[in-house]
Amino acid sequence: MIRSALRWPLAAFTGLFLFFLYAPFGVLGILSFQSGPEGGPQFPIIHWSTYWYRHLFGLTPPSRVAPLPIGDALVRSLTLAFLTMVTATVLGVISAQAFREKFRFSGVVFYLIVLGMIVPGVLVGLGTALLANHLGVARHWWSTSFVTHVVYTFPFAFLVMLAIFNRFDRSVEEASWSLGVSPFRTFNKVTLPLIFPGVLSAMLFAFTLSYDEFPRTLFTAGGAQTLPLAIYGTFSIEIHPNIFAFGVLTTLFSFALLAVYGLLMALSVRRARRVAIQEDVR
Amino acid sequence: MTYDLELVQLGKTFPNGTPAVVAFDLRVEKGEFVSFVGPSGCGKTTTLRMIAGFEASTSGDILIRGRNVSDLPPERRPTSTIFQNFALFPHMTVRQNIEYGLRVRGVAAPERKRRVDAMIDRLELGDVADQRAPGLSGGQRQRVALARGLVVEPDILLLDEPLGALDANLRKSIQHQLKQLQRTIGITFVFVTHAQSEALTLSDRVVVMNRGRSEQISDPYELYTRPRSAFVARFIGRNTLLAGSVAGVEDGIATLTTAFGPMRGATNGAVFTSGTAALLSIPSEAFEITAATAAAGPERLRGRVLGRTILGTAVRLRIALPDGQEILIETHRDQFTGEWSEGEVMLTWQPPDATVVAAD
Ligand SMILES: Nc1ncnc2c1ncn2[C@@H]1O[C@H](COP(=O)(O)OP(=O)(O)O)[C@@H](O)[C@H]1O
Ligand SMILES: [Mg+2]
Repeated sequence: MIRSALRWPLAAFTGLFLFFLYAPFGVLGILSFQSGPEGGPQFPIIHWSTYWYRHLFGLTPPSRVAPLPIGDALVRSLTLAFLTMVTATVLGVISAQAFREKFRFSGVVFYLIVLGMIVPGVLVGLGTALLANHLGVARHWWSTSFVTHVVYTFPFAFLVMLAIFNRFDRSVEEASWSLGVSPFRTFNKVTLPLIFPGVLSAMLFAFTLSYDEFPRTLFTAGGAQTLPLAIYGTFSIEIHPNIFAFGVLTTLFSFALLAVYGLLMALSVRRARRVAIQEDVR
Repeated sequence: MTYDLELVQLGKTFPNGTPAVVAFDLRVEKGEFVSFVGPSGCGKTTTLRMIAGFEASTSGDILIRGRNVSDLPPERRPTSTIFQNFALFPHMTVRQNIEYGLRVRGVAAPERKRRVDAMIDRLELGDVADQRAPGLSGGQRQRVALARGLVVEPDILLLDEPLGALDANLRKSIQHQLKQLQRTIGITFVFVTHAQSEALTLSDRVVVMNRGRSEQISDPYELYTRPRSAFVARFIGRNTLLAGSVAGVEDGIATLTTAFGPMRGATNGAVFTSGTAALLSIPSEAFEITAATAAAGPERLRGRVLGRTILGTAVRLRIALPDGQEILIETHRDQFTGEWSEGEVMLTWQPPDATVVAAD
């Protein structure tokens, strides 16, 4: 009874959710295919064209609309996201490993780490900038911003790994020690291969969070901007469809990233399913 | 002489205050098959894990072949452990699982292959050598775990309820294979189980544990026929216990004053002073059943038959004693006469077949 009564509201909710999730992207996608360089955003499209995509890569004759100043910013953001991903994931794995055993004040430390996810980003950015000024440290995307990004993404990586270790059967590690293998080599040869799906998820989290991070970067990046800052900067002048074209491309890049993640995940889930079968039989 | 394994006053109290193992003494000779048996939570696994080095002891010492290993980490102890869930490496094939210990230790490829092949042959794993562990049956996984543990040639193999995960039919046949394997390899096995039948069938000696202490260490026959404490009398075999106080001891036979009159049983070397509270433990097999008309006297208990079950050549009777205790007695079908099938019977036994233990 209740099931069928809830059915339509739930369907409507899901529909709305999907609409609000994808409609903005759809609009952006459509707008990116208008002709240029004259005229602002227009809807519906009169002439379909790939002009703004060519404009993005400097393949159009010079015009009133300047090329997007994003080449360097893109490289910076990708580099920063990559470094953040590696650092946060390594730290997340190590600290989750430490939390497998209860230690003194482990509860307090846990909440202190997780609190990092809740603190407003603008405050963290501002605070870091003030601290850097106070200490006489110059602000750069690769120094102060990097630190705030790691601090921001580390709790996510930590929580993902904690959940993975929670379900981890430690007797396989003990079996390895018992065969004369040191804990360090056991970690490399047994633990790491088995927690790999979790490591992938932690990496994806850290990368995407860092890649489009705005408030923490705003005050800490110094002169050279990251991609989100650079794009925001162009808004304050005038919005041209080249932004939309770029939005489409960067979203496609994210999808590609997800596809790689999905592929690697499928491979390790195949392995994990075999683990599950093993546990069922017992 | 040096023992393969020596536990000296071994103890473990967990940080939360649980005394899991208390003053445990044990000496195991090379090639012995020793079992720890006891109810759940009595400290069997904790003792085994201390021997393996997974758990630190809080008192006492562990010696393996005369060397004190108490402070060595697990990877530096000459022991291998077989876990209840087998703990195979799911990301490796059967051969890789078995090879793992030798490979990481840097054993050269030709020797490694020779030893792994020999182990695969011995445990009949040839057909599945290239399969991954999770696809295997319970029995196969158990054999892989054994092969993986034995191929590194440990001094002692530690097994924590390795048959617990298998179904009942498989367990019987694997018990036999396990004993056979231990005989041919000749290394010491320390085997943990909560099933007394497993311990009695497999072991050269059995340690009965209760609340972190070892209650009795005996060979299976002695354990079964001569319990040394009330706990063991209740836990092992099927004994009827009668409470009383010691009236006197003569030639190793004590007389107890019980609610049913004087009853006698062997003291089995224990010393009892007159007046101490004690229990008479009578094994189910020691009872003889006669007609209720037989005269009452020492070693005679009146009983009332409540029901019977025919088990092929034997008949199992459920009998109520006058104090309300219900006991099960199996008797040969030839000795079973219809007249006991309902109503009163008389139970008798030979005093040396019963054992007197201190009351708890
Ligand atoms: N890590 C632990 N922390 C606290 N108490 C424990 C721990 N492991 C076991 N115990 C306790 O120690 C006792 C013995 O446990 P265990 O050795 O596992 O028993 P068994 O294997 O005989 O069933 C039990 O009371 C159990 O609750
Ligand atoms: Mg146990």
